[in-house]
Amino acid sequence: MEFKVIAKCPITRARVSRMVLAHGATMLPTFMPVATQAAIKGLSPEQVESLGVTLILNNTYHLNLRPGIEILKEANGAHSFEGWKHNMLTDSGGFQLVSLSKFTTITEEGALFLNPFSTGEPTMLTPEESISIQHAIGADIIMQLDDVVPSLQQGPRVGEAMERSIRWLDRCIQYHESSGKKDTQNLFAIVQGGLDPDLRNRCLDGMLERKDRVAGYAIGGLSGGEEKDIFWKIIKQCADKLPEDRPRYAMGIGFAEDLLVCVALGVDMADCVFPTRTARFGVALTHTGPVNLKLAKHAKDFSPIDKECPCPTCKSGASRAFLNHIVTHETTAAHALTVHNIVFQAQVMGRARDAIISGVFPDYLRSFFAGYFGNRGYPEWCVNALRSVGVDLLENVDVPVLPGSGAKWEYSDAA
Amino acid sequence: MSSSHISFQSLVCLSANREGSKHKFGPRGGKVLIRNGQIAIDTPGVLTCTSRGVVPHLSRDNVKRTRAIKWVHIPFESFLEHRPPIPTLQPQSGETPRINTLLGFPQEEYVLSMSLRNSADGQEMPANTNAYVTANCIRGMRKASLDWRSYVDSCKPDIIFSLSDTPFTPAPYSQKRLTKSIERSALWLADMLQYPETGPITRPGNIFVQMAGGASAPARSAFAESLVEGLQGKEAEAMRPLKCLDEGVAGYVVEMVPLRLSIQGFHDPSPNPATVTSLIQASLSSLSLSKPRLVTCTRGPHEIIRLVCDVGVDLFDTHWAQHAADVGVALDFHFPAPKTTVELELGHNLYDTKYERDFTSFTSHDLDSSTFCPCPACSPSSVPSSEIIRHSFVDEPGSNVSTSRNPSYTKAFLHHLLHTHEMSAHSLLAMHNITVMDAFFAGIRQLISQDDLSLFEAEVDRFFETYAEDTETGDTGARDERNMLKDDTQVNVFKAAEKAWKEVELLRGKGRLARENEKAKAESTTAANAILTKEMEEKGIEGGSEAVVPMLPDTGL
Ligand SMILES: [Zn+2]
Ligand SMILES: [Zn+2]
Repeated sequence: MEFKVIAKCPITRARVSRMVLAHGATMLPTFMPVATQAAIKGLSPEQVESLGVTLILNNTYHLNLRPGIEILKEANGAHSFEGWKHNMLTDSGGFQLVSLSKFTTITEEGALFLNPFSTGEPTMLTPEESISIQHAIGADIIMQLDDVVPSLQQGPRVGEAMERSIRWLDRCIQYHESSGKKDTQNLFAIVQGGLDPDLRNRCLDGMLERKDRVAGYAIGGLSGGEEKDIFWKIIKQCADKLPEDRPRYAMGIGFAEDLLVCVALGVDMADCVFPTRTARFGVALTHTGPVNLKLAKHAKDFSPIDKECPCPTCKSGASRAFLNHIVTHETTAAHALTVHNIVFQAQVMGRARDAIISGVFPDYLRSFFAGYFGNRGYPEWCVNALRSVGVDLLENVDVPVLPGSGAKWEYSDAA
Repeated sequence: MSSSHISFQSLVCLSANREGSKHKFGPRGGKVLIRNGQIAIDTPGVLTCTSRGVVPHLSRDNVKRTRAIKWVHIPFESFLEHRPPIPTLQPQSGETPRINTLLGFPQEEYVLSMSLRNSADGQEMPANTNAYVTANCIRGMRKASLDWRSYVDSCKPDIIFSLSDTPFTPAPYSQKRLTKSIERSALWLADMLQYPETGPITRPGNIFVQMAGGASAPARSAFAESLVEGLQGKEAEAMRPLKCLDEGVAGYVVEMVPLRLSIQGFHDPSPNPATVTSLIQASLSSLSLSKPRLVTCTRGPHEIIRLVCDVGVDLFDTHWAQHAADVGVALDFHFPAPKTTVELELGHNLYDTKYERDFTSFTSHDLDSSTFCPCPACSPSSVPSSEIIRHSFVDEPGSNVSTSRNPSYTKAFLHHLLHTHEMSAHSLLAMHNITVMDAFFAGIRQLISQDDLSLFEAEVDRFFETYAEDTETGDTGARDERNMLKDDTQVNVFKAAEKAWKEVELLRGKGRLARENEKAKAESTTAANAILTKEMEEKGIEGGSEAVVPMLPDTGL
């Protein structure tokens, strides 16, 4: 991997970097759309490529079940199997395994689970096995197997999981280095430690010791319903301590405000199913907040979702009335909104890159929040988080500040 | 002459020398000239079906990528859920008709035809009356009568189907019902044609009439004759200078779904092909040869070939091919058929596990590279890097984009997408199947243009010998010696695909339903935690990286 920081925000911790992987360059910070089962819901790789996306996520757990490793090997990996020519990242499969398999037991050796496809026979996913599966998939960035616990888990289990994640990282590194794939595939470590700053610190210390043998760092175990003020503090703690010359990836982050706060705290990459999932429920993301096209108020609105938007949906002149007519009835409505939402996420991050390079990132944050939340009010945690890196969202504006996770959007009520 | 005028240019007719009335019904090649010749559609040719105004599974960029889509047909009834219908409220943008603007079909690139009803919908409907036709939309039944004319006046499609009194009540129909049906259909056509001789709005020259008469040949002939009968009295006055209704008609439409229903009833709609042929001939025999003949909802290439050969039909929709895409079938056939001694299937049921490791494209018998399927699934290509969206000044969207064609999508990939219930499967299949139909018609036209009936018939025979007919949605194919009775043990590709498709749908539905049920039952924290676990599971199913769902503290409630 070639990783170079090309610009830094003079105020916040935000930065722009260029990451070159085996399938081309990707500019960071970036958002990665999720292609769980080897396809971004409803789209073809040519469509995704046309949206200016250069890095997507595939899920190891799913691909391991279907089509399975043997078939992926025969196809020469997931890139060629699914026709994707650009960069790809795979997770370790651990999270889905814990959440999808009912009888998963974690031991020092690995995660023992009942394979839903092999008539309930117990199967062991070890760190070595996870890496070996990711080698067969052939993603440009692969993740270590970590010991996942729910974000709100408390007690000794959290510390145990953190310590084990470090030991598993060693096994992943060992296996990866001996495989000869090190030049084409890049292994990322995942910082764990729950919501406990001490545990996070110990995890960071342990993982930083292995810096020379990992290509980047992810921040895991968040975005699981913890309080937002705790969330950003953990992100900040990790991002502050992670090395300058390694990409930082916040896992499972996808709301626009979360993305921008994370970027301001020094995060380079994020992924989430939210933008593509919400598209299937009829919600278009816009710079003035999410729009639920199922609502009757759009039935006679002949304006596009966003007339400035360069996505194929808006550029074709598709109106809200048109989308309201097909949404939830026709799969193409999901496609239309999926491309729009992917472009929206990419625009939020692309504009951040430009603003960082031009030295006006704090202004961008202020104008984004003003446009996105307007008078609905700013989430208090965003105000707090951005103050911690020297940006006051409330400077010269008079908007309410909302406790909790923030504004009520069209997608969250009365759909 | 209005700007929407349609005409038909017959170029080749292979049966001009057939004796008796047969000369009217041979294979013929020509052009339908639309908007006074601004756009020409070669015939025999195809139109693409839409649902709620969109080509199913295809976003607008994919419609554009599918060059085979040139003519889209819009059933209007889904818009009746609003009154006035949304398309009539679309602000006019320049000269572009409202319906084209709303649905995103630029007039320079697409022909757009419009009917009230969806011709694929054969469900039972309340009877029509003298005053209205019953249509179906998501909010229930709607009545349409003279509003139809105001809708088409407002939407200005390139081609308008007149209203027709087609019974969707169980067959057989009484003589009285048929007589009524004929009378009403003629009356509603007359309504569409009554325009003052001078005035701001001129009589449209783009009306296609649906041929009424059900399964009765005499009734079908009677309807046709009522079109060419001289107009009398007040009617003649209102329709000047037309001497008969037919003079105001630009083309003839036969709808296969109601025709099959009226022949066989609702339960076994598999009529004998000879019956179908003779009924359609009864409709056309007293009518002009110089107007295009359109048949909707045929059951695949065998039926299409019969109708081209024995009726001289010019236009067909791709309903069958689009349905095949819905159920996971990739079509794979050519006309003329490839030289082979084995019998071939018309397509591949990609649910079949035999495709699990099949890394070849959908097309197995590409005769040479010029016939290789040009669709976006078999011949995908990246948009030029200048058209890739840039999100910042430093983006390099051009890196790793090749200008050459990308490798074809494989059967193994589609097999995977179908079994994992990924919508992309149906998009790729729809683009491919529509393209296969377009190529099939190009093959027919090419052969007709050689103006050699016996050569054409020989190729037709070879096609019937090479390809098994879709016997599930078709019939046993009793076209004289071209009859291909197959042994019962062989499961039809289409039937098997439909079954597999339903199974995957059902599995998925069950999972979701079970989760929803439990949600409804949740009352205690324990139950709520169980639901959170389920949601975690759903998030897991959705994929992404670690997005963990919280646990609620157990308060022991
Ligand atoms: Zn857009
Ligand atoms: Zn194709």
